[in-house]
Amino acid sequence: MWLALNRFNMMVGTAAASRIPIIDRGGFFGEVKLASQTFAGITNSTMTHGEAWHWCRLGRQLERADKTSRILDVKYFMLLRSVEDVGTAFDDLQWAAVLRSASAFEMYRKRYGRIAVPKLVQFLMLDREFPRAVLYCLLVARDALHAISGTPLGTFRHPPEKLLGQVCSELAYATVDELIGSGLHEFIDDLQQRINRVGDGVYDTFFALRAPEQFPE
Amino acid sequence: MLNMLMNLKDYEVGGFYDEMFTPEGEARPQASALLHRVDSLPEGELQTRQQAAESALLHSGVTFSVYGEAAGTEKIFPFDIIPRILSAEEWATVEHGLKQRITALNLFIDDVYHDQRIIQDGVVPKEIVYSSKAYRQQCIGFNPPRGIWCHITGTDLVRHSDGQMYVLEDNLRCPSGVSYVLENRRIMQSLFPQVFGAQRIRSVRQYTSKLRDVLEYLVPDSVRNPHAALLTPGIFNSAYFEHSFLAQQMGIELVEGRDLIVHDDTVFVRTTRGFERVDVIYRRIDDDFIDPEVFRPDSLLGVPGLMRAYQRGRVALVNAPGTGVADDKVIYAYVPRIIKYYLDEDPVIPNVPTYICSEPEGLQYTLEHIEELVVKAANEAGGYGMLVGPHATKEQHAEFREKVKANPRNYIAQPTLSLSRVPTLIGDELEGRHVDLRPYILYGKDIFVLPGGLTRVALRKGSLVVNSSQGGGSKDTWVLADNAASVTGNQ
Repeated sequence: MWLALNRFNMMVGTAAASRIPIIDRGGFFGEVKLASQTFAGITNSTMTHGEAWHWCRLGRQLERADKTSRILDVKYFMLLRSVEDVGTAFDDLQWAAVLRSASAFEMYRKRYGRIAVPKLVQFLMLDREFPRAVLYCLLVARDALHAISGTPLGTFRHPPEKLLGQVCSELAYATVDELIGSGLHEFIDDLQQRINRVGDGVYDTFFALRAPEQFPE
Repeated sequence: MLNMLMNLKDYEVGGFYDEMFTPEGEARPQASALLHRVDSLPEGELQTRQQAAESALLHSGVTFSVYGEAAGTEKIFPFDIIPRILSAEEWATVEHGLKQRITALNLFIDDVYHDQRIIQDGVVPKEIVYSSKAYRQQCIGFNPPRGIWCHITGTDLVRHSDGQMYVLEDNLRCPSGVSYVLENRRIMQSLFPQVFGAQRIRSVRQYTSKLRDVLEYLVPDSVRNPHAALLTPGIFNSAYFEHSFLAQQMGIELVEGRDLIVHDDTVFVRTTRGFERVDVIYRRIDDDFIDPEVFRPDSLLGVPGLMRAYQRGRVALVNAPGTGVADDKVIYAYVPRIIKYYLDEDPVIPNVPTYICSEPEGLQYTLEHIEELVVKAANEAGGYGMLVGPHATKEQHAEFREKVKANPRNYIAQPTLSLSRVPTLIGDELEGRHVDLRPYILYGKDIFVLPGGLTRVALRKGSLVVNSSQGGGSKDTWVLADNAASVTGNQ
């Protein structure tokens, strides 16, 4: 695990220190992806699935939920130049690129076949089986957080558990029509802020211990 | 014999004591198996393996950072794949000598903080002890757990051209380098499996288990599951790799000062489940910085109240605060007398002859012969604050004369030793380079000397300075097992 991390760190560090711009970007990013997948794979298969591992999982899943939502938002909000473009071949290409960015293209095709925006939002936001989908990530993060604290699922003992549980429930009982109908961009924006608050809450609850009244007897 | 070895046919012993060859150019018995293996390698293979070793060290993160360079600049400690080999008989002497020395030094430390018999009997002058920077008034009268002060020692040994090993200095504060011993060995075993298969080379792997035993031995028996931690100054310390490596290998927590808190004279560590009590701390922070309430008030690295907890017996510290008094370079000059005083034995491994500048004769000799002497500051380590007379300029000589005159107590001088050499891969050739040896000694239930140690090598041609901060590298150190000792056993 450390070996993989060191190699990765050196690879990126060397590239960052180099004055020559990276010409083979595809190759470089391919290496980055491979190295981060290797690291995740090694930790998964060699680390005891105890507290430290749950911390890794919690961090990774919160981050991934945020990133998937951003990738979707880029196309939905920023690249949507005009209503006339919707449904054109160019539009289809861009949506396919969005799916590829989330490593979701093949899995989406298997599940839904043709590219259609509602299906795509459903897949990237609300799928419970695709590991890059926002809901999937948040459910795993919630499990990890509860494994760390020992609080039973469905209940909460501190703010981040409450926040994360609420976000999960909201997504779990939402339909894609509701998401799009009430403004997907605004929804995603709000979601990202809530994910950030979960992160801050985790820090306050677990890492910023100060009070002496918390000493064991 | 040298003629039979093709790769080594141009190797020059060059008038120095060579660890692998006799002056006649014959392989020493302990080295012949390796030399034949090296010689049987196809051309270029040695270089290939050298590169493999370097890349393995880099990827394993076996690095150190050099002060004064950009933050985060990490380098591997240069490594040479030709090991230094010690025979079983010679090691037996070294081991015996080190145990003797550590036993005596521990008694000395305990004495200077209690009855001071050695001062009253006129063996070591009072002012020398009291003027040592590392003598801690706060430790007077204190009894450390199990009576042990110096749990971990790295003693520097050198071999002179007369073939004799000498003690160059004692490192009793926070000796570093043992992680390189363990990692160098791991890499050598993968590069030369045949040699390890054919020869009985004693293992060093037990070190971290032994160290953990030492830590737990210091905790009162009533504590069921002792909680140990390694206290590091943090990621910017040059030895941070070693701190994280040792903590990881021992399975104890790696903490910084801000992770610990003293409450009700008890030490706690912050965890994600609240505070947990800590029973023993292997601290890699000097006395000066461990507790701002007692020592340097500006220290941010330490833990306020740590000394209070320690003095009330609530936590054990390794090594004990105050231990540094015994690795003062002036006190060093008295160690043969210290051994005689407490143990009534002659030192098994002699000291390097030393001129004490606080004594009039020593000062006069040093000032007159500074060109041929090595002059060292009493409380410095890592090759800082040191003058190597024969390699220095006239201006540097003059500068050091002034420094010594201004503060004689702070300096000692020693003859420039002709350190022994070991063949070392320089470019495509094997050339002799000077080495020293730092074995590691653990003092717990009994005294354990790790069979091996860090062989440091001065990679620059002719250089005698082996410190990593000044162009030194390291080699694996092989101690051969005799028939009676098992390879992994502790004798």
